[in-house]
Amino acid sequence: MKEDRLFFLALLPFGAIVVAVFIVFVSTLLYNSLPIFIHEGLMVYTSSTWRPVENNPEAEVYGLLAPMIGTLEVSFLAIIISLPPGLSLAIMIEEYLPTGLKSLMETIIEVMAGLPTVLYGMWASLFFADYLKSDLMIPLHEILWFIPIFGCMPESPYTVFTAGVILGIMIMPYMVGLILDGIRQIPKKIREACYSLGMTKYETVRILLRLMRPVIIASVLLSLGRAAGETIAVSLTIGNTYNIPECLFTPGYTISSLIADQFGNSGFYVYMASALYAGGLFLLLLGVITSSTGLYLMRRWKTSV
Amino acid sequence: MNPAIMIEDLNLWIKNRQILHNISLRAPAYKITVIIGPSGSGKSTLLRTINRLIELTEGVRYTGMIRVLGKDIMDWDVYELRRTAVYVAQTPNPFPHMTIYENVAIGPVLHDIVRDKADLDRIVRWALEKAMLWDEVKGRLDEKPGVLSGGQQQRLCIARALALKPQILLLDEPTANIDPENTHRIEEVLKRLRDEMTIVLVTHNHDQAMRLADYLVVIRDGHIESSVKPGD
Ligand SMILES: Nc1ncnc2c1ncn2[C@@H]1O[C@H](COP(=O)(O)OP(=O)(O)O)[C@@H](O)[C@H]1O
Ligand SMILES: [Mg+2]
Repeated sequence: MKEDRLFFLALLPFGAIVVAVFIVFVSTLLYNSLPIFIHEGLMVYTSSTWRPVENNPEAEVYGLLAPMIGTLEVSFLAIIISLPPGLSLAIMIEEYLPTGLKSLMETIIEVMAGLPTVLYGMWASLFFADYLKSDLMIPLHEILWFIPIFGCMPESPYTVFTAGVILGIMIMPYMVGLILDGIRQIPKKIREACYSLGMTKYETVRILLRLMRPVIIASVLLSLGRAAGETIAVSLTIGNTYNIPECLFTPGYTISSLIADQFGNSGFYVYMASALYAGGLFLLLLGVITSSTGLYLMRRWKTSV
Repeated sequence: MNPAIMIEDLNLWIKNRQILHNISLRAPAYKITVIIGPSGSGKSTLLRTINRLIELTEGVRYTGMIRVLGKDIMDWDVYELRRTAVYVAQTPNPFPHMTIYENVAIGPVLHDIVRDKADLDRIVRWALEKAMLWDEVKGRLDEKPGVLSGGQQQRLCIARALALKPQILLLDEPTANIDPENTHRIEEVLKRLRDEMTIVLVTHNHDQAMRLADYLVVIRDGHIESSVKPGD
């Protein structure tokens, strides 16, 4: 069809723009990270020294290991905190709530998932962090002091732990949404098969959970990607301090909070901006891995049921 | 002998639309009762009412009485009722994430009717043999049911139901959308099961009804039009 072709050709530029922007974006990241790679090689990812020196570029050293570990710690903590309640919430909404309550809950979840993250950050840093410190972090330390990650007494309310918890709260609605999407993909006939074999609701849910395992893994990966990249809520709660957080109750950095916090200073140094770009490259890679694996699992699962 | 299923004056509404009108019927024990009628006449609804599977549908309300093995269905434990009178759906619905073996084993495992693995193996084999599927799958019990044809999947679902050792089998158009070869097999399966359990079969295929029915119930627009014993 001639019109179809014309229509396709007319739409082509828009698709091309997206691809072009992506290519420009990635090449900018790569190009701007080059100086630091030339300056110190892969040390930028393996060392944890952060030494900005003015007027002496050769003495500058930037290692991203500490904030990379911080990123991973905060993200995993967020997943550990959000998965059990998120999964339970999704099951409760889909399997147990009557229609009216169901749509109310879904609305609340959607609103929470869509809130600007600066609100979570503000709420946490002005209000929640203090309670977290006195009511959870200190007791955890007193009981589990022999485990290294709980081994230090929290001094400030702004710690890696705080950021992880607030991220967990923040990504939970997102994760619930993904899991709900998955549950709804399960054909009705499978649920019916369970009931026609005389299964109780509990037994049915267990079967469905097993069926959904790939969806749950995919949701976790996608949420992980989101948590790893979150900036402002983390910036406001993690304490922005350069150290390797062996204990979760100390302040730290993630890559994204490091970039947000240090970008303004980078003009005073020769290599700092480039090091921050290299951090961006790490985030990009993490994002590509988590979302492509997550989306792949999700898609493969949808065709398998 | 008491009928295995007795329905008295059943009226059923879905969202205030009446689907079934004054249905009364008896399904004698150890016989095949065939319910035949055009599409949309309420056959599935009727079948699903017998073991209360219909309660999963939203907005269902009914009056009248149904007795299964002499006991009012409302007096049954609903899960036990569904295991005693097992429903096999029109479209095959094996669990896609479980192996062929697990699909058949799931019922006995959940309901604790096996003593050990050997016992479970025996039940699975027995059910697959009864469903005339054993020879086709015995070498690939740990593959997923996705590798089976539609007709084989339907027989797998029959085997899954049989593994519960039900007294009543409720079959909803088991041969719709299935090739003649598999249709023939399934009919053979049912004829052989007749001595061991009560079967209620829904179909819209007249020839099939004639081949299988000990009793024939014709349903149209939610009314029973006639109820006959073929050959009389
Ligand atoms: N879940 C439902 N909601 C509303 N109407 C339904 C539902 N299920 C069945 N019906 C209606 O009940 C009637 C009988 O359906 P069904 O029992 O599936 O007929 P059959 O199995 O004979 O084809 C149809 O008119 C159908 O539209
Ligand atoms: Mg039907």
